[in-house]
Amino acid sequence: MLTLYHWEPNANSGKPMLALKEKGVAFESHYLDLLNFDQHSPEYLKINPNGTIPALVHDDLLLIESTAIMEYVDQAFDGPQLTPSDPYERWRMRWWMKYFDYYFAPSLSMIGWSVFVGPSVRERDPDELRAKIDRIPMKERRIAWQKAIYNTFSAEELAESGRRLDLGILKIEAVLTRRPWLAGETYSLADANAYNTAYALPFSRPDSCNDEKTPHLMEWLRKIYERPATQSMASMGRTTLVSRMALLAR
Amino acid sequence: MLELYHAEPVANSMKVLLCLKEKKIDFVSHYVDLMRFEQHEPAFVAINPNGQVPVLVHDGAVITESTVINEYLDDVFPAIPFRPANMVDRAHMRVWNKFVDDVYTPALSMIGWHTLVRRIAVNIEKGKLAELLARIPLKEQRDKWATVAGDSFTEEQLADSKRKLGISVQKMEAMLKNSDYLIGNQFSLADLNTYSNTASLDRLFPDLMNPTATPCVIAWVERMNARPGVQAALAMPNKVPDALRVFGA
Repeated sequence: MLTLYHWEPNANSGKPMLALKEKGVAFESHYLDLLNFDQHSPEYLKINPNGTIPALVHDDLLLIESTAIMEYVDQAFDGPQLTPSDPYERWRMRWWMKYFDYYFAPSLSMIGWSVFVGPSVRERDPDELRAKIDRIPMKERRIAWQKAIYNTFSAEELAESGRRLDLGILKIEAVLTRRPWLAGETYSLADANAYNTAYALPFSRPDSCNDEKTPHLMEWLRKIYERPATQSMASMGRTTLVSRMALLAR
Repeated sequence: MLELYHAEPVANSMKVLLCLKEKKIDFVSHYVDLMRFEQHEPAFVAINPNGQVPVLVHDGAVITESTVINEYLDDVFPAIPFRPANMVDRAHMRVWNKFVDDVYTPALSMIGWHTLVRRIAVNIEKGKLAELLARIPLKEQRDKWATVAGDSFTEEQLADSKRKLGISVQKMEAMLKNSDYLIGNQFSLADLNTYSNTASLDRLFPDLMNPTATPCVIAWVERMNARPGVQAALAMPNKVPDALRVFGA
């Protein structure tokens, strides 16, 4: 029995969704509405006490942390290999996943929380929101929600995240000029990881990421978008977030 | 040929030194003197444009990021494996390694920069400091030097880091309750990656780590200290003056 607890096919939730789709592994989908704070409900905290998504439950075992789940999915199930067999390419794959998880995704996430997540919930009843924030188990997540809801990300923080993203976009473009996929000659977990963060860059950072300035990055996004696994993942989206993916259609 | 560019057997350099020593792999050691800012010199930046240690060079291929380097070493030299064969344990190992990199190490690092690097930074003459800062490739690193050379981190930031250290050591205590090692009762990359952070934490924060609050963590450090690989790594060059040694041997 395999159950994935996830939100939209986006960011961390999208990472294991795409790995499972690429492997062709059937799983039970348990959608949690992040904007309704489903991930902090008592029922879900019984499954994952951190109150974070995604989480994968395989038989009676709980797996957390999206990138670690991706590596697990690739190793534990049959299907196409999503990890290169060459150790150096494997290092590149893990290097890029580390780069996205530690550096690129948090920068994009801060901007996403400030322009999308915050405004999506801000208008709700203030007492209800406060109660929802109070039950968040992790202090770091409580702070992120407070900043998003009360719009207290500083201009300096947002500018720094923007700087990191623009630097990252150039870095990705540079590597894709040299090879078709992030780790080497074949599609790997690094591409699946990165896509879920990077797919909306042409929409959210149009001045830095576009056909003129970053043609290789654009081609790479479109190639991933066209894969049947990506299409199948995208069809699981319920909000307008996923509609940004359609901009990649040729 | 296998070469490692590294500093003292502390922090990220220690993670990789330990892995190599525990695997009994011969390598050419290139000591990079952080006290003399060699990591920002053109010769080193030509190898790692980020100007950071450790860096592994394997037959000319440059391998960076200590946690990812250790996975690479386990891929290439599998004779003495440090990843659990069980896939669920392996996933738990990676979750822990990520926690160490995201939470535990940055928290300890902030306190290390505040107490140790700051003492170096404030003694550098202003003009010279600007010159040194200008050579640092990463803005994040430049900002950190400027911070400790100036007013340093706020009390609030330091308190939050100490809170994170408390959470880290309590997590370890729970993991070691019924197990000699952090993951699946077997020595793994998780232990290698966590050793340096924890080896002297009891001296730095006796209120967080002590025989009453964290007996299992203390016993784990002793178990680690007894390993020949750990001793071999600790015997690597250490040029940090005694007065500046806050953690490590």
